[in-house]
Amino acid sequence: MTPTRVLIATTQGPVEVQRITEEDPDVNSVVCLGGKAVALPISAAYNSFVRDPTGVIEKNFGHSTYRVDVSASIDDGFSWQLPLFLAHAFAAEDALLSADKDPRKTIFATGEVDRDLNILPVDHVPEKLEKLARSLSDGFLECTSLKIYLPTENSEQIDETWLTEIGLGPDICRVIPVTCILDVFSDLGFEGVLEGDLAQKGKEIVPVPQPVLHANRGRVLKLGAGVIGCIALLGFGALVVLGSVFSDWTDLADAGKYGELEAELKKEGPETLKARWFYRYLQWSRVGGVSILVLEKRPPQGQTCAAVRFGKVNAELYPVKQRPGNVFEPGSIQNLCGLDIRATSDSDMAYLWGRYERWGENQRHNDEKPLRSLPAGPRLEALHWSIDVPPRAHRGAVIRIVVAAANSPLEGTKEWMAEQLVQAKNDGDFELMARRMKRLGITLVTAQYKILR
Amino acid sequence: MEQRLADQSIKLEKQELEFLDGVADGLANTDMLITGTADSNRKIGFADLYAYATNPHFTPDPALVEALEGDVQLMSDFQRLLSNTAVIRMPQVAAASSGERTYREADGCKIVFKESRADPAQVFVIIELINKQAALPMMMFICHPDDSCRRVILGDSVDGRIQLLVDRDSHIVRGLSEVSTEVYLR
Repeated sequence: MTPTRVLIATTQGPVEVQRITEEDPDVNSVVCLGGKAVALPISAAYNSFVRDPTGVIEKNFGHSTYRVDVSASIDDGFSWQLPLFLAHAFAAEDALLSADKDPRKTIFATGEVDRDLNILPVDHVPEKLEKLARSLSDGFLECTSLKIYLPTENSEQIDETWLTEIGLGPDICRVIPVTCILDVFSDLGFEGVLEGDLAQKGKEIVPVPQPVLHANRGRVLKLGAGVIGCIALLGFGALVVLGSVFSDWTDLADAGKYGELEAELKKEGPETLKARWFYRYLQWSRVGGVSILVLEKRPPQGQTCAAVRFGKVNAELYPVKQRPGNVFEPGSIQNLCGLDIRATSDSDMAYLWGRYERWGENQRHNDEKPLRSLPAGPRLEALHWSIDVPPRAHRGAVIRIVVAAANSPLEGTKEWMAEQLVQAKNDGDFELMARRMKRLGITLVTAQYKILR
Repeated sequence: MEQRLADQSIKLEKQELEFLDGVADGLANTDMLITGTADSNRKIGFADLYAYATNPHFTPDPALVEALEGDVQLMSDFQRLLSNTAVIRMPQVAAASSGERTYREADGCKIVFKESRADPAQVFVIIELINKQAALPMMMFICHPDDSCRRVILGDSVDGRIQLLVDRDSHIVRGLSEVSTEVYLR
C-alpha cells in the first residue's frame, strides 16, 4: 500500500491525521491536538464511532480504543468520520504518513459513515474545498498526488469549472464521488476489496422474530390441561379453591417476576404444603430443553475474511461439533471471520434470554469478569448472536453462552438474571443456580467454546 | 464574613446550603458596594468564594485565585466550605507507605490513572462513580496539607465515566497521586 497522508476537510482548513495509536481498552478513545495532552471536543463522538456496537472502527480494525493526533482543532460535526475511517485503514497497514515523512500520496476527504459503511452527505463542502485550495496556493500544503473523496450527493453539487477557478483543477487533484467505503477502497486499490455489494452484508443473518408479549399461550394451555387433570382428581370445587390460593404467585410467574416470586416463596417457607404444591406446578409447567448451536464463519477457499467483511463474498458456515455437556470443540482463529451462535427452545411458546460472554485466552473465566458480554432477548423461541472476529486478531478466547428459558418473558432480566450470573462464578456455582432456577420453572443451560490461536 | 466562616465548625444542612446559594448573588453586589470597584486589591467576598466552590461556569477573579494560594485563613475557610458543599470527599490516603499512588478510591468513587501508549509522558485520569445513577461531578478540587486547593473543571462523561488526558508532571497527576492530598468532587 502506498504510504499516504490523510487530510480531514474542515471549514477552518485541511487538518492532517498525524498518528493513530492503540490505547489501553480501559480508556475511552480520544482525538488529540498535535501530540499534546489536549483532547478535542469531538472525542466523545469519536469514541462512539470507534466502539462496537455503536461504531464501526473496532468492528473493522480490531481494537476498541484509539488515540488519534491531528494537526489542528476540530470542534464539532461528523464529517471527520470518512477521513478518519480511511486513516485507520492506512494505519492498519502501516501506511499512514504525516507531511514530514514525505508521503507519495495525499487524500482529502469529508463525509459521514453509517453502520453499513455508507457515506452520507455533509454541509459546507464548497467552503472546505476553498480552504484546501487556499492552503495549496499559500504554500501551507504541498501535495504530489491529491485525491479528494466527496459524498456523491455533495459531489453532484460541485461544478468542475468552479473547482478549476479556485485552483483545484484536474492538473492539481482528482475529485472522486463515493457512496460507500467500498468505493473508496476500490479507488485506492486496497487488496481484497475490489468489488462487491455492501448490501449483501447482513443477509446471511437470519432475523429472529420479536417476541409476542401479550398472551402467554404456553402457560395457559398447560394450565388448561392441568385443570382438566385436576378436575378428574380433585373436582371442580377444589380447583377453584387452589386457583384462588395460588393466584398471587401465578400472577408473578405470568408477569415474569421470578425474582419477586422466589422471594415470596421463601417468605412462605419452601417446605410448607402450599409452597411445595406451587413448586410442583412450576416444575410441571416448565419449558423443555434449549439447544445451542455454534457456527464458524469462514471465507470460501481462496478468499479472505476481508472479502467477506466488505461483501465481496459470503461467508461459509461450519457447524462446530458438540461434545457432551454442551462443550464445543475448539476452533482455530486462522481464517475465522466470525461466529454465528443460535439458541432455540424445544417448546413452541418459550421465552428465551441469554448472554454471550468472552474472556481472553489467559484469563481464568471462572474468576474474572468477561472482557465482553452481549445480552440477547427476551425473545420467543430463538436467540441469535452474530459475532465478528476483528481483522488481525491473533489471540485466543474463551466464550460462554448462557440461556434461560421460561414460560413468561423474564422481567428485568438484564438486572435480575445478570446478577444471578455474576454470582455463578464457577461451574459448581452455576450448577447450583441452574437447580434453583429449575425449581422456579426456568430452564438454564450453558455452552462453552474456545478459539485457539 | 470570612471570620464567621472560620468560626463555624458545624456541617451545613442541605436547606442551609440552598439558602446560601440563593443569596450568593445578592451578597456579590453587596460586596462590590462595600469594597468599591473590582480592583486587584479588593477583599474577597463570600459570594465569590461560594461560586468558585460550586459553580463550574464561574470565572474567578485572579485576586481570588491568588488569595487561595497565599491567604492562610481564606484557604482554611475555603476547604471547610468544600467539605460542606462537595458531593464526594476523598480523604488523605491511609497508605502503609508514603508517596505516589496510581489510583484513589473512596466511598462511591474511583480515580484511576492509565498511561497513554502514544506518549508515556501523558496520563489518562479516569473518574468513575460506583453509583451509576448519581449525578456526575463537574468539578474537582485537589487540596494539599497546607490547605491550598486547585480547581479542575471536568469534561462531559462517556458511559458514566469522566476522562481527562493530562501531562504526567501536571499538578493534577501530582496532586491525585500524592497520599497527603484531599480530593473533593462536586
